[in-house]
Amino acid sequence: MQGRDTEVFEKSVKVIHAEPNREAPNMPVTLVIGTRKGLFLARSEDRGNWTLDGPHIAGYEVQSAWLDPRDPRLGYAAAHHPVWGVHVYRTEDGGRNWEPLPEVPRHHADEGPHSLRTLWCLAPGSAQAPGTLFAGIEPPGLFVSHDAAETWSRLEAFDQHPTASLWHPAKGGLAVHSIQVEEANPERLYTAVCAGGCYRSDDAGASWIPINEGVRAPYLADPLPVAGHNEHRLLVHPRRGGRLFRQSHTGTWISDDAGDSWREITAGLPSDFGYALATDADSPDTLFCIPEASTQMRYPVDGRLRVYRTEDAGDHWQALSAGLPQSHVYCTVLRDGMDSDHLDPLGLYFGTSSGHLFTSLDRGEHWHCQAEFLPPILSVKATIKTV
Amino acid sequence: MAEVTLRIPTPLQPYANGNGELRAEAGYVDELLERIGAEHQALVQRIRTRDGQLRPYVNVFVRRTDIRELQGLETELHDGDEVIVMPSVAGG
Repeated sequence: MQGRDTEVFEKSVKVIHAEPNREAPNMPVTLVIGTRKGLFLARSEDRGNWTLDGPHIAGYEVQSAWLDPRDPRLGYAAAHHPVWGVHVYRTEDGGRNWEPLPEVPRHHADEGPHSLRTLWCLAPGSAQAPGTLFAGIEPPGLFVSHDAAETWSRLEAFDQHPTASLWHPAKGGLAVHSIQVEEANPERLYTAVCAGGCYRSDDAGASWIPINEGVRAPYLADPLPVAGHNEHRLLVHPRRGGRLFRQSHTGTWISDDAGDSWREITAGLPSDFGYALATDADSPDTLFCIPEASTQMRYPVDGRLRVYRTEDAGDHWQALSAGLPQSHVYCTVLRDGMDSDHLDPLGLYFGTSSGHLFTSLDRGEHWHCQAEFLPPILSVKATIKTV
Repeated sequence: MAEVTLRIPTPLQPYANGNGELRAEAGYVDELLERIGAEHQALVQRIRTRDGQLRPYVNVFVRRTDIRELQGLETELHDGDEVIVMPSVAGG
């Protein structure tokens, strides 16, 4: 599969093969792509030429999937099927084979709707704790595994938090998502609830505090509540401790104090609505987002698929559209649908609800469509070391 | 104890080493799934929940009858029975 300029969308026949970026390091990257009908992997030795493999776990909705940054031979996928149930799969050969695991995180022994509806999020633990991973489920619950997803334990302080009474289902359900560990301080965990707000633990999940102060929620009776926010995505900068980004139902926000306070950085964006965020490990002031028209429409503003980039922590935004379709685009990029590889120059990747996979090798300046008409894409995760 | 055949729908055959059917001895449907599950745990976990309940949209037929109309997972099996697993079908 060659990189393709998306002029194909606008002129419907002409396909241009992109030249690999000569300046890009010759670093293999694997993208793990979760879709509504299974899991795909896109592999590249040079980030310019990609091969697509899949579907794995065919027929299952794969909400969250990744190769383990601590050991990319390992990988995990959260899979759901309306008939066959919710399951966790693991690969031990870099994604070539995926095997189901016996256990799933759940509140009770049974799998009824009060115990496990959906497994929304799987996330790796600290680099210092290989084999540790986290899971966010619905009904809201946060779980940890210390044995590579063989068994799970509930972090009950999370769902028993006094503010949990403020949580309520959003359009997509009641998701616990965006689970991340602050690498320099592995006791510090973050997560978000949709709809419930963002939370932080400073003691490895033993206790939690809501981190939503000053974040407006005009869709609630109290417009500045302690919790209950409809959070679409929380992103922790991988190197600068305490630097967070959040895409809320209303607004894009930044924090420099681990979420104790927030500054809205929506000004300069064409909308305050969207889902996906990505950043650059080498540049903590850089953020990428894909604004959507409105809560009602949920597609790119003006039907133009544009990635917006700030390089000064939200003071200014730049629209990036080269290679992206610029008319009659009515797809969505979901909260886990965009990722960056943290290489230099930065590679960016996102997948759409229309099943299109886009890549950029130059911080979003130019985009190439690498796959079309996959099943609706739910998640895209990049891993820079392949096996 | 009856000698019976479990017929496996196509989507579940990867969890049974590619087999469309498995044979076992069992007195009841539950016992059959227990015995099959000892070797094919992932297969049975897609038919029953992990606490042993028949999944809501999985149908199991014994002698052409949905076991929900018989004794459920405690439905007795006879020699030569075919136990057929089928997903519920809905939509257009």
